[in-house]
Amino acid sequence: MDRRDFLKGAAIGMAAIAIPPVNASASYLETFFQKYYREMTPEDKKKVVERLEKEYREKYHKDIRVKTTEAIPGVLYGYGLDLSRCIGCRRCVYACVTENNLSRSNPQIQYITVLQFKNGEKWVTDLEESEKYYNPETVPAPDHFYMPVQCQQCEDPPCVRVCPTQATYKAEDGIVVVDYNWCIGCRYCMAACPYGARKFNWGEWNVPTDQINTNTHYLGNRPKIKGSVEKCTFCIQRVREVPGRYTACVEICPVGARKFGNLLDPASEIRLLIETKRVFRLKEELNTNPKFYYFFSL
Amino acid sequence: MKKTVIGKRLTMFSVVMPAVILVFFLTITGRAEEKPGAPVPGNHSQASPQAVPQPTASPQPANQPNVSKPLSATPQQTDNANAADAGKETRFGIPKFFTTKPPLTPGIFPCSQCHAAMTPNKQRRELGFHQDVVLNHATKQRWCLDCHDANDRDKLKLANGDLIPFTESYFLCGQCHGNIFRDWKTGIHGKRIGYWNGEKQYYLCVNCHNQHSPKFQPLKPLPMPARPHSGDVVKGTTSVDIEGKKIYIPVYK
Ligand code: HEC
Ligand code: HEC
Ligand code: HEC
Ligand code: HEC
Repeated sequence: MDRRDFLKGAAIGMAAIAIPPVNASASYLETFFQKYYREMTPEDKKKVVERLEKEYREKYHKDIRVKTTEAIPGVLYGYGLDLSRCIGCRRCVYACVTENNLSRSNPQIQYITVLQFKNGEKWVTDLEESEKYYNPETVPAPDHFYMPVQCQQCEDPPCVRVCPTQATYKAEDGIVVVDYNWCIGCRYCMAACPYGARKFNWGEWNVPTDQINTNTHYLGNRPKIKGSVEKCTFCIQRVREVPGRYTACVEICPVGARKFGNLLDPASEIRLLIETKRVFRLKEELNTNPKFYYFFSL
Repeated sequence: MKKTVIGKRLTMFSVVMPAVILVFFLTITGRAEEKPGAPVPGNHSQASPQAVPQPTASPQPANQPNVSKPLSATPQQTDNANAADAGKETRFGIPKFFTTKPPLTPGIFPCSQCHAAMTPNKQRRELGFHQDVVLNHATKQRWCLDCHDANDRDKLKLANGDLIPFTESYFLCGQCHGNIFRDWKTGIHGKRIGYWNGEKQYYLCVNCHNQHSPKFQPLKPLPMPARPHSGDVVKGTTSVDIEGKKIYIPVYK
């Protein structure tokens, strides 16, 4: 067998693996050949959504709505987090889990990680010193402070640059999203993200049926696919509504540490806080240019 | 992006192998660990040297119809002329919408149900009633009637003698905490819920701070994430109610 034959054989072999078995259901085939979201026409989107909603109804016996709301023109989302106020209570973590239908176990997926630091010790430059498994009776624990970390929605996202299929990309309103059907699970993006913000579905998506949030977005909190990566989308299913709702983490925060708004609107709270408070962005030296601003109100 | 679907699947395959190898390599060197801040070598080389566009410095004016500005220039109608003027002094008026009514103990209002028949006693003293009121708010310089009106107990009293209803207690707090009051109006201190580009509902100062002992009370944290390799097995979920919102938290074995 010469090299040419070998390559031919290999190509046929690969094609055989790549093409699903003939007895696969029509729906399976449609899913398999589902188009790249950004190339879908409005009709394509409508058809795909209808099929997904039908599938979900059969699988979960629930009417799960899948929206494909487009970005609002003239909007670039930004986020502010007041480190002077955060007390590390983790309300945001589970408001997010609930809103975004994150797998509850095997593996447990959470978009927000709250880090605890000891007063006076290394922190922003060395997050490795932090504790994410803190569990005192009440928070804030004496002599400690807290910093929640989630996707920083970079303007120059390293995760997008390394994605071999362009499954993950930055939408017009600045939200970095994942087309779950187009994700091949290579996890390059997870290695590239300096913030540990991306999570991988090692197992089947699992959320108890009665706990599913049925208001979902195609690029957001719809049921996930095993083997795909997911991440915070600034609650795309909420913020792109007209009028746009605040994210779940903003609304739950008992100390009001979380701020959200349009960076292009000079009267938005995010712009005002950037103007009037001292802000910084995490790992700015990597030139990821996050749209997530930490600030100190005190 | 012009590739055919089949072509695309094949391309995917050709990246899967190197991907698997790389991920394996990253895993064994501990780089792929899910901890925010795991430094990734190579990020520096990926960082583009050219000027990074600053979203905040965007010259684009925000003249989209969707962004209404509910805060601007519409001071709340109050029956108190001076209070309304106070709103005009600053860049933003007083908000119109509130999440809750003042969090008064049910049944206690109107205060005049008892106080109308009582002669006010302006003496600072040990009270034989209102045992639940613990004044821990610059107590030395303060007495009840700095904030409550001696003759009309259903109103709060500003330093200039003006009376305001309980629904506008933020004017009272704002007299002494001006910087915070300013931040609160723009949404930086405290909390607003609702629509980021539409109507917002404000939390009152007294929704978060007990007016008499205003230090924010510590909270019980929700469960920590499952620790890897520690036997934290998620047994199930349970729900907690936070300000009327139901959220789900894990229960570990
Ligand atoms: C810093 C200003 C301030 C001072 C000083 C103050 N109060 Fe108040 N008090 C308030 C405000 C504001 C409210 C309304 C809170 C609300 O809207 O729920 C209030 C509410 C109350 C209530 C109703 C509480 C309830 O259970 O709902 C009582 C009773 C009361 N005050 C008594 C007192 C007494 C007695 C003192 C003196 C020991 C005092 N207050 C001192 C500002 C003050
Ligand atoms: C059930 C009857 C009752 C109600 C309702 C009531 N109070 Fe009183 N309050 C009293 C009594 C009795 C005293 C006098 C206690 C003493 O002298 O030891 C008092 C005293 C006070 C005082 C201390 C100053 C003073 O005049 O002696 C303040 C301030 C006060 N009340 C505020 C309020 C406010 C504000 C409300 C409504 C939110 C309220 N009270 C509702 C019975 C009541
Ligand atoms: C007459 C002036 C005055 C008014 C009115 C007033 N405060 Fe204060 N407040 C103070 C002073 C002075 C302190 C500092 C107390 C100290 O640390 O000894 C303070 C402290 C506080 C603190 C910090 C407490 C801590 O221990 O960290 C909070 C929160 C607060 N006030 C909230 C409020 C709220 C809410 C209102 C309105 C119901 C209000 N204040 C009305 C004067 C005032
Ligand atoms: C969403 C809840 C929330 C609301 C609403 C809120 N605060 Fe606060 N405030 C906090 C928290 C949390 C802190 C920090 C914890 C602490 O020290 O008590 C704080 C701190 C403060 C302090 C202490 C000084 C400082 O900067 O830490 C003052 C004074 C204060 N608030 C006044 C106000 C006033 C006045 C209003 C209304 C105009 C208000 N707050 C509304 C949550 C709130």
